[in-house]
Amino acid sequence: MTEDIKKAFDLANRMIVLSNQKASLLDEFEQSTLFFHNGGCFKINQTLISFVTALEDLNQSTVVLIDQNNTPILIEDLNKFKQDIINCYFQASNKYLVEYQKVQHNRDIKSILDL
Amino acid sequence: MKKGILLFAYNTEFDYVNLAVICAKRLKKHLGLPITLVTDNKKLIKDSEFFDNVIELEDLSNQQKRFYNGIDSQVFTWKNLTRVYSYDLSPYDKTLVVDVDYIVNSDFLLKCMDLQADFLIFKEYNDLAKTRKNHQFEYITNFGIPFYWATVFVFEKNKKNEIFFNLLKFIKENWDYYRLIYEISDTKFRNDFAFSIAIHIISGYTTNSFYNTFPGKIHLVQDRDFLIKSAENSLLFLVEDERCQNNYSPILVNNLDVHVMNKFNILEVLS
Repeated sequence: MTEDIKKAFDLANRMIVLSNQKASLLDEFEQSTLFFHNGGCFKINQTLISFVTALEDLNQSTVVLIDQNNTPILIEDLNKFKQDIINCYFQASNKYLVEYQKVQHNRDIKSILDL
Repeated sequence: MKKGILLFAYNTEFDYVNLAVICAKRLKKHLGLPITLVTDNKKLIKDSEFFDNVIELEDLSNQQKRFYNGIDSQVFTWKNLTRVYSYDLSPYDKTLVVDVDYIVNSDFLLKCMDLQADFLIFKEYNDLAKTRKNHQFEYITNFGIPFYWATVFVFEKNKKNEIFFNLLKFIKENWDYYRLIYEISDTKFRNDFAFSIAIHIISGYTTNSFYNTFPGKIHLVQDRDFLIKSAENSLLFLVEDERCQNNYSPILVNNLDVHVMNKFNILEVLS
C-alpha cells in the first residue's frame, strides 16, 4: 500500500469517528430541546417558537397547546412559557455549537473522545 | 401520588443482582426516587443501601439464551417471567420499571414521570451505531405489528392498566398460542414481544396505540458493542460496523440514558 492510499484510509477512519461524534451531539441536542411543562412535553424548534410568538402577538395570554403525545396542555402564562422555551433552546443550541466546533476543528481524535 | 422505581434481577450464571446495584446507584443519583428490587434471593444483595424495599419472588423459568460480549458469547439461563407481575408487585401509585442494563445518565425519566399519561413506553429507537438498520426493533416480525420496548416503562395504578397487565399475564401463560398467532418463530418468551402484542390487542387490534410513548427515542448499543469507559454522565463505546464484523469505531455519549445490551461489559466498567 502506498503512502497516499494509507493516508486515504486513515482519513476515512477519522471521518467515521467525526461522523459518530456529530450524530451523538445531535442526539444530545434533540433531548435537551424537549421541554416539560404542566404535564406535557414539547419539542422546542423554530415552529414552536414562531407559533408561540404569533399567539402572543395576537394578545393571547392563556392558550392550549398540543404536546408530543397529542395531549392538550393548558399554558396559563404564555409569555413565561415563551421565555422558558427560548432560554432552553439557546442554552441547548449554544452548547451544541461549542461541542460541534470542538469536534470539527480538533485534529486529535483522542482529545475529542477524552472523558 | 407515591412514585417509585421497580427493578427485577435474578442471578443465573450471570450476576444480575450486582448489575441491579449499579443501575440503582445511578437511578438514585439522577432520579432520587425510592427503589424496589424484585429478586429470588435477598442474601445475594451485597450493597443494599440503594434499595428501599426488596420483594422475594421465584422465577421458575429455565429458558436458555445466547449472550454476547462483543465477539464472544455464552449460553445462560434467562429469567424474565416476573416482569408481567409489575402491577401486582409495585408498592407505588406511579411506577417506573427499568431493565438493569439501562444506564441512566440524566433526569429525563424523572421529567417523564410528571407527564399527563398513565402509561408510557418507548417505541422509537436510536442505535448509537448509526450505520446499522435494525428491522427487528421496528416490527416484531417481517410482516408483524409494531415493536415496543419493555426495557423501560411507566404505569399508574388504575383499572385500565390493571386490565392491561392481566392481559400480559394471560399472554405469558399462553405464550405458544400467541407467538404462533403473531408468527414469532423463536419459542422463548420475550417481554418486548408480549408488551407489543398486549398493546396491539388492547388498542382494538390496530396499530393506533392506546398508550402514550416516551418523548424521543430509546438510545441503545447492542451486545456486540463494548462499553469501554465511563465518567460522570458520559459513556464511551466501541460500536461494531454492520458491513464489516469485528471492525469497531468509538462514540462518546454525554447526558443520554443508554440501553447497554452487553451486560458483561457493564459489570467490568461500572462496578
